[in-house]
Amino acid sequence: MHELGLSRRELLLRTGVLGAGAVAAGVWPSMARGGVPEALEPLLERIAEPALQLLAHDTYAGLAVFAVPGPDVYSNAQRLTSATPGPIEARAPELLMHTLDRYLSLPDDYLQALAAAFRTGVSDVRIPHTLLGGALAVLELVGATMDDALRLVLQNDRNIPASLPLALMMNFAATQVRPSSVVGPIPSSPFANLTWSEKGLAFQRIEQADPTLVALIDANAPQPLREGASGLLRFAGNVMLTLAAFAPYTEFGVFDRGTLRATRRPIGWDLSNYMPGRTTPADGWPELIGYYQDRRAVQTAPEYSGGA
Amino acid sequence: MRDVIVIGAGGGGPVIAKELAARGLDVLVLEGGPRYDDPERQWSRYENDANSPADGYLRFGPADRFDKPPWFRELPQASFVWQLAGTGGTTMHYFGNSPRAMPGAFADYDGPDAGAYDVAHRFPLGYRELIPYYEWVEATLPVQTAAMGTKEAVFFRGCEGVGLPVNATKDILRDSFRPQENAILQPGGTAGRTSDEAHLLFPEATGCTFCGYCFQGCFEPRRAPRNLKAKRQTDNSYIPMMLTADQWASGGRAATLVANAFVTRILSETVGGRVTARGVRWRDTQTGEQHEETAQVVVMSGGCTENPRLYLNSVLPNPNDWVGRGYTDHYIDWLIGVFDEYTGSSKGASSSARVDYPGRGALEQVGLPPALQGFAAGFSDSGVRGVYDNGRGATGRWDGRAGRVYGAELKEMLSDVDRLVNVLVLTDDDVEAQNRVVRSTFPPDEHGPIPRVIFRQRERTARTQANREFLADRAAAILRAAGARKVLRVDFAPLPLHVHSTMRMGLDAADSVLDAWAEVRWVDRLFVGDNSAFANSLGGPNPTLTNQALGTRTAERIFARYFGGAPWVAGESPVSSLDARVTAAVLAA
Repeated sequence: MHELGLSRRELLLRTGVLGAGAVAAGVWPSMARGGVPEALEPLLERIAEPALQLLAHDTYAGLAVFAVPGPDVYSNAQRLTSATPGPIEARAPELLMHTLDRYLSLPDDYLQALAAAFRTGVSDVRIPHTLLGGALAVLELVGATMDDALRLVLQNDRNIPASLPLALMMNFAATQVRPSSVVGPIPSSPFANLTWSEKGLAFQRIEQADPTLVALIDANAPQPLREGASGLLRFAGNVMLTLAAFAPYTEFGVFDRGTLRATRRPIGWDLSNYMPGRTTPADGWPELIGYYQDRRAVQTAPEYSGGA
Repeated sequence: MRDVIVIGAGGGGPVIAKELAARGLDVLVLEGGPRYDDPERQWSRYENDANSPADGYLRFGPADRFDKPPWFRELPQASFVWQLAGTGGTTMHYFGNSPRAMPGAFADYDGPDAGAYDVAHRFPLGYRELIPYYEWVEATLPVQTAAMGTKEAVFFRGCEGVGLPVNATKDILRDSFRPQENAILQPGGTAGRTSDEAHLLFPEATGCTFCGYCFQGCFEPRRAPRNLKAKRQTDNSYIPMMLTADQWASGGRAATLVANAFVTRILSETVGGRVTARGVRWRDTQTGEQHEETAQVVVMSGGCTENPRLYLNSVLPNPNDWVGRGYTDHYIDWLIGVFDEYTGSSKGASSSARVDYPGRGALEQVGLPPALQGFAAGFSDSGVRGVYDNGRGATGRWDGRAGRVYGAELKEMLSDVDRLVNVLVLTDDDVEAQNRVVRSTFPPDEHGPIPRVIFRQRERTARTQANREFLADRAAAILRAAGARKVLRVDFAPLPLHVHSTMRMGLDAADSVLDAWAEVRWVDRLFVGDNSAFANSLGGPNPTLTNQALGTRTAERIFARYFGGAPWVAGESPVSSLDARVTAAVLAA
């Protein structure tokens, strides 16, 4: 599988970089087709979206534990764990995806182009067997990959949430840092298989607008959005890293939108020893000490008294 | 035809609206976001529910936050623009900090350090001229000297430790520290003395209850009339006054507020060879209906990003190409002190202490709840500490290299949010033409071409960069002197929380959009009433008070020039927003 995957990835890398003309001509899907026989596409159709959702979730889980490690499988995979609960228990990956999907309301054609640009990062990533049972097992036999699922979604011109191309970008950067990350304890996300330090190196490529990443975006982005790739990488890299430091400490995982209240104490509040024992925001605290030097009011300085 | 249309009900627009409504003018205020008229029911104060840029109640987007996406703005660099739609605008987020500007930022300054400021972009008016307007606004809001909690006591200990003197005036005269002058009603009754919520209701509690949620919008104390809520965000101060001007001002006339009304075009005509504003077109964000209304005067108060966007989308004259240029943001940075003692960082007003360094900028102590604390630790232009630094990662009096606090270090640092003290660096940054708002090449949204906000972070002037380094050093020294076990410098990417000068007034017609009275040089009857009118970044102090003082002056100008009225600030006393007549009117509404 590994050798087959690498060769496919190399092929797709080339088609990704050189494929701008093919994209413009609308012929790239057939060029990229290769892993799953056309006859099996109805089966692939059933699994494509759940597979991509798993890919995205696991990638953001890898990002969330990069920000704040916990006792979970994703922290284990990065070889930096913590005994106390972390972002997985706080549902930070779900919040990251939700926020990015809604906040980055980029044009559909731009998101599709971004996804196409980075699909080679998952061309070796098999659709996990946990998703493939019964009639779908044949997809495992033919080595169906996340790239096949993505190809199908792109081919059908479906709306793509912003979190997906950004997850693909992280995974592509991961394969740049360590190609063997396509295989690891988190089968659906090379990024999540990186060590903690390697994740930093992947984000270094994103935040510093690595020329390969820039070229991939520029080669795929529709006019008039070309030439903006480096700015997009710097912006997206910073936003993702920052939100990942925010998310674990919020109430999101236990928040009820209907009542605008948390149903139980947020995990992030325990992690930060915030308001021990409380579930709701407090109305006040006995924190008043007094006034510095007992001064309650000041006036315009003598130098400026008297106005103009 | 209205007398005046004000675009935007944020930190500036309601000030001009209130002042002119009090003079009896027919004022229409159009706000693109929702109106929050019952915040105790509408706001949860949970950090994500409030602050999520996607669907938080303080986001920049239409009212139906769970159904419609926010309004996207293009940021072609590592940055985050914290815009906000809705009555109160960004004063919902602000900490109420109300320092006056540095005198050195104004045209009349002749102190020995006069050359230390952005001398090429001074205000085209004197600081002394602005003082009566400051005093007027300070009495109206009102502005009060901040009380002290534990985090302030720790910060003052550091200031004393580095030998800084205390400033006991309203004005910034020399390097000094002090409690903030805050637009926050200080604690009375049980406020600040209990956590028992049964005893934190108005009127048993008055003013600030030390809840710690300045950034999430203030509705404390519960049950207080809207104009008696602690933090003086404009929806607790100027907006109630403008809507009830007929009841507390002799000859006043209540202003009209229309929320969910996004202005998409300034209408103009040529009169006597001059382009002249004659009204606006707006879109109802809920129904999609388009409306037009005419007025004798139009005031733009939509903020530093939206004002240039609206102006450019309206295809109005821009002969020197300075519309949108000169964006200043205090080049802010962030340091975190980790202590072995309780600091109460998550409790109390978010910032109640500051240090001013004329010619350099300012520092202020900030306390936050945990998720925002995580955000602040994670928002860096210097990569991830210990892994990469994006070519930055400055070293200094802090521990290690500047950068994003991440992984095990973040978890350990935030293991007790109440053992931290943050310092926000507010740089006296130069006006630079390259930092600007232009129209994006991204597809337009339902309101027209969207703005693209450009900050050339690494190309700031040598003076700006030196000022920031000086301030970061001083912040670390203060935290060390206060007893911090560890000091971390984040090196923020552009985070324009303090935004200014994209429609700047100036002495030189070649690099300014507004004349000295905040009227557009090339469009008669079109004024700007918010931070975007600033000539510069004030030398570092927080902008809202100066916005409101300048807006009061602009209101006088509008009244005198276009309605034949006389100025009032010099000869009258202001009515406080706490006045019993305002309270009665609010309760009757």
